[in-house]
This record gives sequence, C-alpha cells and structure tokens, in this order.
Amino acid sequence: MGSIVSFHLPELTRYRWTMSKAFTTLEQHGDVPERIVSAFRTTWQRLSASGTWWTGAEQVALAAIARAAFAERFAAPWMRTRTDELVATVELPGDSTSKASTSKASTPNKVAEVMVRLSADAKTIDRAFAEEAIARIGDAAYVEMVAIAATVAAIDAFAEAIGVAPEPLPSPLPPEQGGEPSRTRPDNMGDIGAYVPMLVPFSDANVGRALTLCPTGNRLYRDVGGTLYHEGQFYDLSWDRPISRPQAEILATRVSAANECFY
Amino acid sequence: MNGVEYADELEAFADGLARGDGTLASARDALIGVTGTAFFVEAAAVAAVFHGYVRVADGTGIPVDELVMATTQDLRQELHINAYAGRINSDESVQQRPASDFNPALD
Repeated sequence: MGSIVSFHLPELTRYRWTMSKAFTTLEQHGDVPERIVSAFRTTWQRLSASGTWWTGAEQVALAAIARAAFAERFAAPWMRTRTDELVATVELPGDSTSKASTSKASTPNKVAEVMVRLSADAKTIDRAFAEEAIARIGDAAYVEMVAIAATVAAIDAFAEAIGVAPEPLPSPLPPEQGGEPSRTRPDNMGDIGAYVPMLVPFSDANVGRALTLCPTGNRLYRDVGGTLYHEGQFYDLSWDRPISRPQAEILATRVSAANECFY
Repeated sequence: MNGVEYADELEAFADGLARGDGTLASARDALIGVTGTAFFVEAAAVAAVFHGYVRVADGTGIPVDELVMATTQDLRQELHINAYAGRINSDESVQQRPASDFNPALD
C-alpha cells in the first residue's frame, strides 16, 4: 500500500497543479467572469474522472474526438479528418459492449462515428441513427456521449467567440483517483417520444430532462449551460446582467436557426 | 428592426460564430465597438452555449413542448423552421388544441 501511495501522490499532485492552471487564458482575459472560468475548470475535472458509463480516460478520448469534429463542422464531410484517423489519436475502448450492456459489438470507429455526428452534424441525427447507435452503445452511455459533445461544443464555441485558442483537454485521472463508472440507471425514467428515456413526470421544458438518463452527463452539461446562458435567471424576463434577456434570446434563436435545430 | 438594442450586431455575431462564413472576427469587433467587452463576453457565452443546447436537443430527439407547439404554428411557418429535419420528433396534432389545454392560465 505504501508503494501505491508514493507512486500516485506525485501524479495526483501534478494533476491538481495542472487543473489549477486550466483556463488561465480566460482568467487573464480580464473580462471573462470568474463564474465561467470556475465552471469550465469544474467541467474539466469531471471529464477527467469517471462518468456513469465511461471511464475518465474514455471521457477525455471522447472529448478529443468531439473537439476535432466540432472544429471541422463547417467543412464538407469528405474534407474532414477520417474517423479512423481521429480514433488513432486517442485511446478509445476497443469494445464498449461490456461497458454499456449492448446487444451488438461496438468498435472504436463506431463509437467515434457517433461522436462525430453529435459534434459536427447533430441536425442530421434521426431516430434510425440514434437507435442504431443506442443498440451498439447502450442508451445511457449514448446520453453521456451527447452530454460530452454538447459540453465540448459550448466550451470550444466560447473560445472561438472571444477569439482565444481552445483550452487543452485535461489528462484523465487514474482509476484510483477517478473512480470507476457506476453503470447505474436512475429511477423514474419514461418514454416521452424522444430517442432515449428521460425523467417522468417533469413539469419543465423538455430540454431540462433530456440528459436525465445519465446523471453525471446531465450535471456535466447543465452546469456549463446554466453558467453560460441564464445564470440562475431562466424564469426571469429581466436579467441583472450586462446583457438583457431579449438580447440573449436573439443570440439563442440565431444560433439555433443556423444549426437547423427544430427544438 | 425588432426594437432590441444592438440587435443587428448580435445577429451578425451569432451568424459569424454559427455559420462559419468568415465573418466572425469583423462581427466580434463590431459588437465590442458598440457594447464594450463586458457585454460582449456575456453575448459570447450565450451564443456559445446554444451550440451545446442544439446538440442536446438533436442528439436526444426531444419533442418540442406541447404548449410551444400549440402556440407557434404560424411563427414556425413564417420563419421556415418547419423545414428542419427535427420537426418529425414533435407532435403536430397538439396544434389543433387551444393553448389553455396545456396551461389553464392562457384560457
């Protein structure tokens, strides 16, 4: 036991030091609120540890694929980096079947293809694609991928928007520190006509329960979403911020339209 | 014009970020020029996070909430939103029902 502690302590110390330096560019920007820097750092910490279905190493690998695909979202599909080339740059699980309780074999390329679609071409996802992905990966593991894709998109789009380079992804924590996926499903999940089960009953907008099948994924995205969007003032039409609610909704509508998002 | 201050600059900034048409840098400068950086950073945050929300919605296939479907038929038609592929995930039959069916306060 003593040797394990002495072996991992420098690694953990190095991890904590690295994490404390994450998003320093934003911190030094001068106009980026501390709440945003703090939320992004927390997100990096969560990505580097285990989620509910994917390990920390897998989450970071999925985030790397999401980042690469998001960066090429405006390119024609045939001009983008090939999926197998993306997979070659990360350590994606060779077969996620055992992790996600699926009935079909999965491969790194198949997992990566799902991540690329979520990150670069989400508007083209239909029920057939989602069902095929879910059959291979599992519905809750798929939801966790949606959360990672959405989170990376939001954080990288923010960097693009203010004109800074994207923050390097975190290093995954070793299982001793990052834990193992619990692979548990929450109660009270039901079919509301979406591709995946979600919390029922629910009295708020459907987007608020979209990721509830995977609690860690839900938390990963929603904390970033709330920080960047409404900052706890979702139900207020008058915001106590430099930007007003109508101005924010212009941005929201315009971005959603450009992405051809019906919801 | 919609009466919202800086609407033109905000729309141009959102388009520059979301459409990849090479206008982001100039739109950013224009927005900062009229609003200042504190406002701009908040605008950047909102524009950025909707790149995430659209992936949550399209990735999970959530239907548009019934009240919204029932009350936005004309608006969606006018804005050509009904042409988006994700329309199929939402229940259009609710459009035949009054909004008060979904929220009694709208009776």
